[in-house]
Amino acid sequence: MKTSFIGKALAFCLTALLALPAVAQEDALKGYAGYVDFGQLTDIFGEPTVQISVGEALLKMVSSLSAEDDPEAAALFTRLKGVRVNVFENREIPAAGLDLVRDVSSKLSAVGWESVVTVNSDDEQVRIFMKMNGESVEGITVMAVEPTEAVFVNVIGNISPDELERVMDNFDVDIQ
Amino acid sequence: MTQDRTDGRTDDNGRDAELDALLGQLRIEQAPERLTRRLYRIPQEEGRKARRGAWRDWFRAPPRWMLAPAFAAVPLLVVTLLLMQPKQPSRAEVEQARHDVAVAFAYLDRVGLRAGREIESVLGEELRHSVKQPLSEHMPFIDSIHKEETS
Repeated sequence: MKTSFIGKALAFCLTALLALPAVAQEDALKGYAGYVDFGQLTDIFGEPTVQISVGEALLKMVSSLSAEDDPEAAALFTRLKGVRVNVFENREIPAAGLDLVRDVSSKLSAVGWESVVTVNSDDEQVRIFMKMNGESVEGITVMAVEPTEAVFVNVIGNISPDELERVMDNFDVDIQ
Repeated sequence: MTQDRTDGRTDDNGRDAELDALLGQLRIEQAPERLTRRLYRIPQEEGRKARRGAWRDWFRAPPRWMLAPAFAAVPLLVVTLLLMQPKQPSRAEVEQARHDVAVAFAYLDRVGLRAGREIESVLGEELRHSVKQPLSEHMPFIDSIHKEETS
């Protein structure tokens, strides 16, 4: 009985220790003005089909790796602090998803995010927000909810849309 | 025999008195100051050694109940220290991160394009409507031409 308690306690401690780096990375991003708290997405949409979270340290490494092939992308990566993506595909999106987009949008507007694009159609809600600090961008956030898909993207750091378009031309990625 | 013993005692007493007198004449020799200091230091050093020994004994033989948590703490400490080390990502991890960022940008691009198309179609419709409406009010034939074209 005593051994099993010690075993459980050790297992708990090890699990907590292993989860520390991921939590620490997310916590580090929370300090930036360009970070957006989307709330509990999994509670509404279930498990994401695509989930990406790249922190500052890894982006710096990506930048140095791209320096020769794509100097423009490398320069962009050095100015990024983090990239977060949550995609929920091939399922019926609940009405609560549309409410979440509205809630997050009003929260972002309240803390100084500028609404760049808003689409309110019968079956689609799209919001694109930018956090500006003078001339520079601190973050871009995209929320798009359709009948069978929901996309949440948060890019933290200084990035301009035209720069993004130029960099995208060099990436060979097809997400359909 | 008894006489001899009495004589012997008298002699001893005399010698003792003589010795006492001689000792009384001796002056007390002062030990060299360095020696005195060294002699005084001996009890202090011995005390210190004894105290050090007590600490060593305490570490050498801790109570048995202390060993179990101590042994459990060692691997935990090692794991903690390993996790605290800043991990250098491998080339594969960096390549994966590059791909992840590209995917993120692709989603940004796609949403932007779709939103643009939606805005374009709404604006186009609205513009068409706002231009056609006043024209058809003043020139009714335009509406009929349009109907002919579509039929």
